[in-house]
Amino acid sequence: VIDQIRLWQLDTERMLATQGYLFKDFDDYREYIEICNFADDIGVVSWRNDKKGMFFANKVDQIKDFMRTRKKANEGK
Amino acid sequence: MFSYFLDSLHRDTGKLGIRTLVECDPSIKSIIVNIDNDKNDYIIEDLDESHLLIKDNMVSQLKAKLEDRLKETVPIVENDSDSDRDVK
Repeated sequence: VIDQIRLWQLDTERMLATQGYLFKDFDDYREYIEICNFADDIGVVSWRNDKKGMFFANKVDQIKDFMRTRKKANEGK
Repeated sequence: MFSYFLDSLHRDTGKLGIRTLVECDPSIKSIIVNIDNDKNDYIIEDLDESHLLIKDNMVSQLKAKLEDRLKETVPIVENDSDSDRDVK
């Protein structure tokens, strides 16, 4: 029955498309996990892969601010 | 990383346009990969078994092509009442 329901769903929406940005090529895993967790907490992460160190966000403004603040804090050390 | 992000954001909003994340069933994904094999016009990055990164300006074209492929492969059943009861 679950398979059938899945098929019906696919009938109406075979692919779900979300606009946004892919974040990748982080300097290190800590940078990735801090930024990704922040983005996840504010609910803008559509997809993440901790192994690959990549995530997809549908909104970037708050992430940009967070990264800016984070960079400043790290420079101060 | 930060400069990379600004660069990529600039590129994204400029020449390439915003990217689109496509989430679909693995079987649908394999069809999309197959469509892309012709010209490599759609997929930017293969993310996992059910996610692809697609060029934003190509999404509607890809949807149309996917519909065409599915019409070719899935036969349309006519006069089907969707009920098992009419099977006697």
